[in-house]
Amino acid sequence: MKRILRTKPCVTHGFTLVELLVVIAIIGILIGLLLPAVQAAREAARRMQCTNNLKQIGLGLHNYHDVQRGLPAMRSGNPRGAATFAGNNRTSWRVWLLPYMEQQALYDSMMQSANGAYDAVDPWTKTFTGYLCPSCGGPDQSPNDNPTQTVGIADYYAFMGDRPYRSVVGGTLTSGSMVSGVFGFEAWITLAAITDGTSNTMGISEGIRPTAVASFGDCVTKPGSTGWNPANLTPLFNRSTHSYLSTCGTFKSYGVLRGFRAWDGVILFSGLTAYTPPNSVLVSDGTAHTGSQFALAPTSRHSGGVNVCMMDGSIRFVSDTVDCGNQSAGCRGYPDIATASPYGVWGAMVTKAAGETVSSL
Amino acid sequence: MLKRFVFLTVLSLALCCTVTTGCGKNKHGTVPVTVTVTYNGKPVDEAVVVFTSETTGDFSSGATNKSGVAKLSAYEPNDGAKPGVYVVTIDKSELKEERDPNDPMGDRILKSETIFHIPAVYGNVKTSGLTAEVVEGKKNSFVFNLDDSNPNEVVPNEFSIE
Repeated sequence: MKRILRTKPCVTHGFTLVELLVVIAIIGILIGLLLPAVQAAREAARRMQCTNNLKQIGLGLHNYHDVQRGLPAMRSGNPRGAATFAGNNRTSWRVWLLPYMEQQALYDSMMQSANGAYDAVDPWTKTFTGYLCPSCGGPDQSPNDNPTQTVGIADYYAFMGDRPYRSVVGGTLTSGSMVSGVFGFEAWITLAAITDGTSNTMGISEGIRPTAVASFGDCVTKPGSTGWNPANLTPLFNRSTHSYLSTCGTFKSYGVLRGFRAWDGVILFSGLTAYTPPNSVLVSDGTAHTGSQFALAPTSRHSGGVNVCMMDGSIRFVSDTVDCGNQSAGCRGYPDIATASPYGVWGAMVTKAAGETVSSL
Repeated sequence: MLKRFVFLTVLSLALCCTVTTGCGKNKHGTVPVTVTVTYNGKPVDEAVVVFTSETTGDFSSGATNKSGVAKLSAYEPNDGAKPGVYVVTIDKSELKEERDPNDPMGDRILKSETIFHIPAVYGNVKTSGLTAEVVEGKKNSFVFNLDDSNPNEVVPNEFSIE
């Protein structure tokens, strides 16, 4: 290089190696600075999209209420062709809301189906993208033993209250007065019944689709003798490594994991509880749909919290470190929906008629 | 020149430390707590340790690692516990279920039993017989050496369902 430059002194417009290296280094540093910012901007956009999805669900709920004079139940009814009996009325709130999310055609095809919402046949295998959070990024098929049993995917769930719940409270058909939150089995609650105020009461939030059995967002069964208080349950999930203790039972050989049956209304596939903190443990005392009780915390891949749709249609970002009150307190009994929640702001925000004042997050 | 450089580095590091520790004071007034659990002389992995106060409603909990050591958390990860007297429960058990593979509704459980890796008496506030006092300004490390000698009778750890 040097020799060529010396023999041809007229060529002086080229760059030296050092100059090029300096320029490349500067560009490298700039990209290094920019890349995290771009990633953050992309996550911010995804979070905004999620907020927008929840907003649409909130509007849909209000439109549904205007027409039907009540909110959709978390779980109720079946299409005409499928067998209807107690324990089988398990069509999700996500189905009943479809006509109010501009999905009339999908809704009609589901209502004409001869199968229930839990069967892996068309149209139940369809997915509505308005029910998917773009940050979740989970798989399209259940990552357990039965991926082909996936019946649509969904990332948004309805709050039942501030204690572990069964899909069907007490194992029998009951009215919605058994849930401290807004959504429950055959509970078509009116906005007027939300006496804590719709802007103070949580309705819908997120749950990510797990990438593996017993990974973040998946539900596990609690070790047999572990107490039910949230303080006993939270150690089962390590929030820094995102893994459960190996003593927890799994839903490995089960139909599908949580998140992979969008239209099934049982609590595992459609419900949430504000009992353990956001982004923590999801746990049940068995794998039976009707008989087992589930404590299902909302989960998300947004950093530091979850998006929540309040019952007035507003969206709040609830932090992982939200005040969860006395986590060693015993929970309310089933008929009781009117005493104040012991679980701080988190519990107070989920109850619809417990008379707490929610000051701030 | 070198001396000055070293001096400046030390000064800035010291400043950083003061700032971070100053900000590190937590709003709930908890102090770090570690618990070591052994059963018949061997460390217990993956045991759930819960501190419950019978008077104040304070609480803290954690799970042990391979060396049998648990860092407790109450409000934020590894923040410890508020000073006070606690009843301690330690539980390591598993739920074994046998499902009916031919049940499309996913509702039929043929058999369900609990296997205890350490005696069940230690998992209940009424029977564990273990206590700990968390004190501010002291190293709060507790060691619980469990064995089969706890004479209490096992009470199921359940809450009412209806």
